[in-house]
Amino acid sequence: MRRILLNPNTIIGLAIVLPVVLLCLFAPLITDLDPVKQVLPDRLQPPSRQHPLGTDLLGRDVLSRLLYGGRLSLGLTFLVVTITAATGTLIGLTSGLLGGLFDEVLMRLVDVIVAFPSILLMLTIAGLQKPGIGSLAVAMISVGWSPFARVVRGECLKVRAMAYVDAAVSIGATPWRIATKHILPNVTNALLVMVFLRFSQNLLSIAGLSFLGLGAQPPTPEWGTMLSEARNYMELVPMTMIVPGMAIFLTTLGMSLAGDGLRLAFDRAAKPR
Amino acid sequence: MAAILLRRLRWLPIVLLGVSIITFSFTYLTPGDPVMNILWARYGQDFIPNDELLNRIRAEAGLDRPLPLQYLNWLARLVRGDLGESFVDKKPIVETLTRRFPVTLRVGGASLTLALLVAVPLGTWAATHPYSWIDTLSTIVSNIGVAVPQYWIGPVLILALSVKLRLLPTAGWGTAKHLVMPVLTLSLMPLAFFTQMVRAGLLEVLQQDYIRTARAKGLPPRAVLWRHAFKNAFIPLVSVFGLRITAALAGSVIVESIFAVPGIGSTMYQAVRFRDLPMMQACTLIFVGAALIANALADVTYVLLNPTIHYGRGPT
Repeated sequence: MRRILLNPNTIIGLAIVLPVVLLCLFAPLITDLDPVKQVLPDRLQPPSRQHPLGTDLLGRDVLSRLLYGGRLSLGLTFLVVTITAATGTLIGLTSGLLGGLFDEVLMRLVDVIVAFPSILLMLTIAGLQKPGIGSLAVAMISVGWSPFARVVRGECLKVRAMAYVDAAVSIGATPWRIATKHILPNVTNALLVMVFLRFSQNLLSIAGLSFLGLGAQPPTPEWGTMLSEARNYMELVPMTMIVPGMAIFLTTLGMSLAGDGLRLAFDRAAKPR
Repeated sequence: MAAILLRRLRWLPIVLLGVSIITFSFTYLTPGDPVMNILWARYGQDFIPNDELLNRIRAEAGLDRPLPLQYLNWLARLVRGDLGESFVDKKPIVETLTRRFPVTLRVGGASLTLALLVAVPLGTWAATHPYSWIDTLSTIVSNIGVAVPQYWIGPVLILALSVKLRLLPTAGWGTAKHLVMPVLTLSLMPLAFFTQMVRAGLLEVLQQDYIRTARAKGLPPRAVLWRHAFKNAFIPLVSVFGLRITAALAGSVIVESIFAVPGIGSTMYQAVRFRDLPMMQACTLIFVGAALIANALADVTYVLLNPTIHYGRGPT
C-alpha cells in the first residue's frame, strides 16, 4: 500500500487535484461574493484586493464564479463517475459470471456504444433533450457505463478461470458470494485506475458540452459555460478565459497523473522483478 | 489476410445494425411529437397546426406506420444513399455532406500528420537518450497534451495569434492560414499519445536480446535503430492509431465550431442546435462509419505488422 501511494505520479497528481477540490468545496469560506450577482458599474475590472481575479462583462466576481462553478463541474463529474462505475461494475460482473446469451448481447451493446466517437452520442442525447444539467447527466451516464462494464467483465473472465474460483464453486458457493468475495476484490485495482482516468475524461466532456451550450445554462457558473461566455469578450479581460480553462486543465492533468501512477504501481506490485 | 479481415469484421454487421437502430431512434428521443418537430422546423416555434395538416404530414413522413416498418423504410432509403432533406435549409443532405466531409478529413488528416511528425522524432530521441532534457520534455508533452481542453486552447490561440499578434485570421475557411489554428488545436492530444507510445515502445524494444546482438556485431547505432528497432517499436503506435482517428473525428465537433470550419463537425453541432434531425442522423452515421473503418484498418495493419499475433483467440 505504501509503495502504491508513494508513486511520484500519484503524489503529483493528487497534489494538483486536492487543492482545487478543497478550494471549491470551501468556496463560501473563501469568498463571500455572490457568483451570479451582477454589479454593472464594476464590470471588466482587472484583479484587485476586492476581486482577486477581476470581474467579468456583467461585473460578477471571477473568483467566486470559478469556485462555485467548480462545485458544479466537479460535483457533476463525481456523480457521473460514481453512477457509471457502479452500474458498469454490476453489469460487467453479471455479464462475466452469467456468460451465454446475456453476455453476448450486452457486450455487443457495449461495442455499439464504443463505436460512436465518444462526444457524439453524448452531444446527441443531450441535444435532443431540453439543454440543462439534467440532460447532460443523463447523456453522460447512458454512455459512460460501457467502458467500466467492458473492463470489469474482462477482469471477471480472467479471475473466473483461476483454480480458487473452481474450488469455491465446488464447495457450493453461490454466484453472489463468488462475485463479492472472490471476483470483486480482484477487480478493485483495475476499477480504481479506471475511476481516476474516467474522472478526467468525463470532466473534459462535461465542460466541453457545457461550452457548446448543452450543459449548465447561464447565469449558472460552470467551468465550460464560463469559457463559452468569456470567448465573446476575451480580448477585453483575458482572465475570464484563462482561469476556468486552467482549472479544467489542472484537474484533468492531476486526475490522469494519479490514475497513471496507480496503474504503474499496481503493475509493478503484480510482477515483482 | 482474408481470414484476418473476416475475423475482425465478424461483429461489424451486428454493430452496424445497433448503430442504425440507435440513430433511427433519435426521432423518438426528442420530447414531444415528431410531427410537431417537423412542423416547428418548417414554420417556426409559434406555429399551431390544425388536425388535417398534422395527419397529412404524419402520413407524408410515414410516421403513422408501425415502428419496425418505419425503421425498415428509413434503412432502405439509407442504403440507396438517400439521407433525406435538412429541416433547416431544405437541401438534400447528401450534397451538403459530400462538400463538407473532405474539409474534416483535411483538418483531421493534417493534425494527425503533424502529431506524427513531431512525436516520432521526440519519442525516439527521448527513448535513446533517457534522463536527458528532451526525455523530460517528452514526458511533459505527453502528460499535458491529454489534459488540455481543446475548447480552451483554441480560443487562447485565437487570442494570442490573431487578436494580439495579428498573424492569422480568427476563424473561417479558404486559405492555408485558416488551417493553422484548427490543426494545431486538434493535434495536441494525438501528439501526446503518439509521443508516449513511441517512447515506451522503443524503450521496450531496445532492451531485447536481438538489439544487443545487433549492437554486439558492430552495427552503428543508427542502423540498429532503423533496421531493427523501429519496425517493432511502431507496432503499439499502430494499435492506437484507429482510436486517435476516432478521437480526431470527435474533436472536430468542438474545433470546427470554434474556428468556423465548414466541416462535418460544425455541421453536426449546428444540426444539434437547430434540432435538424435528418442532418443529425446523417452526420452520426458518417462519423460512426468513418470511425469503424479507421479502427478496422488499424487493426488489420497491426496484425500484418506483427506476425506473432494470432487473431481471435481467447475472450474478445
